[in-house]
Amino acid sequence: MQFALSEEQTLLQDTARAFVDKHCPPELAKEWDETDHFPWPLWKRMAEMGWFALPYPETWGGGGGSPLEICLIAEALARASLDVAMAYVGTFIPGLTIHRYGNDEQRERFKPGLLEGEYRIAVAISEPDAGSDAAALRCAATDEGDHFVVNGQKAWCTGAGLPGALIAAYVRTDPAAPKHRGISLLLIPNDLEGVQIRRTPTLARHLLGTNEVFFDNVSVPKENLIGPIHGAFSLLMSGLDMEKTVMAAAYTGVAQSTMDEMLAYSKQRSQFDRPIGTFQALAHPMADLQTEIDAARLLAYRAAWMISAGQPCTREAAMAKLKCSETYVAAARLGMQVLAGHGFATESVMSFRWRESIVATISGGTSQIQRNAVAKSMGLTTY
Amino acid sequence: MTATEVGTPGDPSLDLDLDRELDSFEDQAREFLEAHVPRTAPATAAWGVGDDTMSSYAKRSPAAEHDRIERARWWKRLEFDAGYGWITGPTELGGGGRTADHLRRYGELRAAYAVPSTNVYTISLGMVAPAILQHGQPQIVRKYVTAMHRGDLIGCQLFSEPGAGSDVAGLSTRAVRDGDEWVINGQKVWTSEAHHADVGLLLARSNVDAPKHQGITAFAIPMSLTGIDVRPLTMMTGGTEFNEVFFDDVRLPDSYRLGAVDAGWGVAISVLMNERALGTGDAFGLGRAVERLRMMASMPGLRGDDPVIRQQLARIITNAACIRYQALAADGRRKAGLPPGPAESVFKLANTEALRLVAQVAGEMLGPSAVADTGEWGTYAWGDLILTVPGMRVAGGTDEVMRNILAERVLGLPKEP
Repeated sequence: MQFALSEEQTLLQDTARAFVDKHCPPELAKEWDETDHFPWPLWKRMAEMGWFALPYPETWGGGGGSPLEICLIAEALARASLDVAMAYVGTFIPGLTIHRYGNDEQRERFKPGLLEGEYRIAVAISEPDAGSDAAALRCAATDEGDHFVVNGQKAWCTGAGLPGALIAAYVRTDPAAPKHRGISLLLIPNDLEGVQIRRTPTLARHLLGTNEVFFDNVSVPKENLIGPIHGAFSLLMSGLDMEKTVMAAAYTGVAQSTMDEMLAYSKQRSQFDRPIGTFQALAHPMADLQTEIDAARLLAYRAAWMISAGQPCTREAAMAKLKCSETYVAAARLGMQVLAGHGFATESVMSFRWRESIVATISGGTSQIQRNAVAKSMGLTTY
Repeated sequence: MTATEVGTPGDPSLDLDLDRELDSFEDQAREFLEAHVPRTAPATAAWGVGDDTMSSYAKRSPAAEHDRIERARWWKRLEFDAGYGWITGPTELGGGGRTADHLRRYGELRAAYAVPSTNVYTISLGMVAPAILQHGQPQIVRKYVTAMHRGDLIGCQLFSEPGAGSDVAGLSTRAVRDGDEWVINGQKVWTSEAHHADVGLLLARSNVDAPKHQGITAFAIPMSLTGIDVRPLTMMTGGTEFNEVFFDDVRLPDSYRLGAVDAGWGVAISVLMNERALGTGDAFGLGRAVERLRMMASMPGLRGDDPVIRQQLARIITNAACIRYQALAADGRRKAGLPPGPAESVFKLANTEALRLVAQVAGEMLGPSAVADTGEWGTYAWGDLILTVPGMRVAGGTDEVMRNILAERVLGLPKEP
């Protein structure tokens, strides 16, 4: 068994960490969040590093990066904030779907934008009445010959309101079919007539923004249909293991950053004439947390390795998402206790960690959904 | 065995007299309440009805903040002038001179009426006024205590500093004697309601050569003095309950000193015990939060039928019941004339731990609605509580400090090395 990163991977990790230190330290990520600011220059710098191209095969002009290497970047970016990592991951995941299921014409059309990060792709699956049960979605597209007409509403659509965003909308094209069938994937530019976007006030994740999207007789050309008509549910599911795995790595990155911040504070802050970190009441929980973070990281790396090896990893990706997201929440909770009053003041990065962590066990599949998947793999079908 | 003499302790006729007097007091108090405030409508406990605010740290508009203070002030004055504002206080200071039983009867009665929130006075009357009354010089007691109980003046507690949180005795704000005055320099932080306060209860270092617990002096300090600068702190909820307070060559007459020079730590201990005792009742909002959670569990689609959630709810309701019984025991101690003690720390710790679980389960039940505002009543409002639970675990003594107090003073364990 080999736990060490290769020389190339170590270099990638060091580069990504230096990138964060230079271009998006946590204090800056917090400021962006508080001002609802999407950092386009950062986006361009990621593109210059070649990171948007990394997940695609070299034969297509991509970087040919393995899932583990993508995890290393996501983990490093999340040291700034989970939202910064989301801005990266949330683009190439739907991009990979286009690459994998699009036809030759679509691949060529979207290639420059995908490889150079020109698109901000916002995935629209959830609806007010279709959250964990994604297949219950009702937003409808009717076939009008050379185009579809889309009507309905999407919820929790991250990044849909950013200028030039493409909405990757899963829509019902066959209402008569069983719910897992009859779903198609359409790419809908967010400035098409009839698209209305309403930002939802949220506790955090303000870089990309969370939105409701309303489609009112929106005409979408047929050439924006990705994959088979009525057959997009498998597309939706196909990227989930990769998404969960990379996001799991991101959660360990932000959890580790949170750990590092509380550790530094506990060494610097003195009460009762000694650094507070030397009190066992704080030292032991921090030791426990570091153990949890290391365990979580190994779960994420294992799932990444399994994807590389072409092995099915629905169970392992679910375990990784479950453990890593809950570890971030635990880290932020302990960080708030270690930093105490300083953490509670909004000037502190820790207050931002806490605010941002709350949604970790909800977005990208709730902890309950991940537990269902793990239980199912154990022969325990709970629903 | 001889029969109890009439008019001596144990004489049943005395108990009857007291009961009649209490009943008469209660009748008059009910008349007062009926005349000024409506009864609490049972409907306010229904889903979707009324204000769905879940945290006292929630963000308020300037107008709402002004309204909160003015309504509280109106009510305190009305209550005081009618004889119910300081029921157990000494009559020479405007108090009612009555017993703890009168206070309890009135408290129980008042709970059935929709009186305005008076939480702006919680620290003022629970900590600052008792300290001035107990340790202040007569003219300072006369200047402040009655006016504070009438709600005319608001007090704040000036203990914590950037470098002195859990270790309050490590404070470094200086008080230097200059003739009949003291010159104060330094900074305080986490001062609740300082932006509304007229008087502060200040701890300052008066002797840098003495051991840290022995070089502190307590003062009552008018917050309008030249050199005092109050700056609100913004919390995660957007609320501005807390403040930083800066002292720059503030001159304070010695007559404002509370207790002896360098003996302020004793004042601080009595105040801190009172602070933890403030937590009995539903000061943390646990009862309200549990009730809201119970209502949520009966709402369709909010996972009240999920076995895991149901078990957590059962645990929460059991914990809340235990905490309620603990509060009753603490009330019993107070009625018996016993001072608040280290066991009050159990109450604070239990409350914040229970609220942590309540917030966690509410988050699990609501999912995205707890973190993003869909406009639905009673959902996003939980976000304020979820955000502020960490603050509750820190304010008024961190969980770790509470556990140290329990370990050392209740269980008698040796001090941590």
